[in-house]
Amino acid sequence: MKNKKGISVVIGYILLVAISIVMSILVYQWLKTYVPKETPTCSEGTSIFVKGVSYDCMNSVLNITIKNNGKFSVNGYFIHASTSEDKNALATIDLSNRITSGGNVSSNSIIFSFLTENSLTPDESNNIQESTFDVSELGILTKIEIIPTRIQEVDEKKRVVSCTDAKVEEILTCS
Amino acid sequence: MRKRGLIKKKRGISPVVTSILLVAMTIVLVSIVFLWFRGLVEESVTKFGKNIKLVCDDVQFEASYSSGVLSVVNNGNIPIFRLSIRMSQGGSFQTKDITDLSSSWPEIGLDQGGAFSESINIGSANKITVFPVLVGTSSKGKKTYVCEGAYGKEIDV
Repeated sequence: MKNKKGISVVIGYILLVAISIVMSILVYQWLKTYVPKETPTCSEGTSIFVKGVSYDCMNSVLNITIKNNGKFSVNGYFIHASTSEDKNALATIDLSNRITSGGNVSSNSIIFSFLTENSLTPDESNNIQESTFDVSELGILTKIEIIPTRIQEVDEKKRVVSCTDAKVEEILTCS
Repeated sequence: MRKRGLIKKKRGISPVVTSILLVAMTIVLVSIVFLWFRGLVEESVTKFGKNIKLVCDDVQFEASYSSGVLSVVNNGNIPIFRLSIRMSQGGSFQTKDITDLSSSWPEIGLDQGGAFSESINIGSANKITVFPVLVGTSSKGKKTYVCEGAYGKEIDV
């Protein structure tokens, strides 16, 4: 009888320990996902402005000059245009693949240099970039929206991050 | 003496068998408890290593609806896989996936800086709410998650 009781207690302990371990592993794995992690966000203080725009409707050529007036270097930008007369309409026409000079296409964005990361610096000597776009067959453009991008390290990996807060808008008029 | 010796031998084997049995039973029981408890705990879907519910906070997009055309721009850093569109009229509403309303929605969704503009039929709805749908990973593979509630963009038609 004594022997039987002894085994029963051991099984009880083993079960308790096993259940506790399993439960703690599962709870840990589940709760771990709720711990906030670093998210890809652009450095605060990143800013650009459109220094000059010339839109030749007749020849469908758009020329823009961008200046980095922020605190951080910029890698490139997303550029979208609108043909709507409504100035509040969203610009959804992607112009990145229509660039002819002053940048390179990378996916759906424009990057200033393939060789140097964040090449448009805030330094006076290198803070201006002029780009030209062929905007034929798109109709008359009324507005462009530009969102600068930066390459930043997120979770020890380099990633392109969109600087949404630094978005600039420019109304176009035919010249 | 011989009888006593034999009894001792029997008792010697028994603890070994018991230990093996205990270990085997423990492993089996742990597996059963694990499988049972896993079914009770809500399966977490993660994106960028964190719960997808938290990722919804980082989604940034703009949406507008004008003259039957829905325009969406992904301004943020989180790819939007699809859109869930709630079409409301009076007190009733129906929800549809963007792929049911438009065939030109990109298969991989809207990546950073991605834009979409296409005419969609919303029937007689007088208000639409656009919710981003994200894709994350779970133990069962890829899973979509709709960022509902405050993450939607309400557009009066």
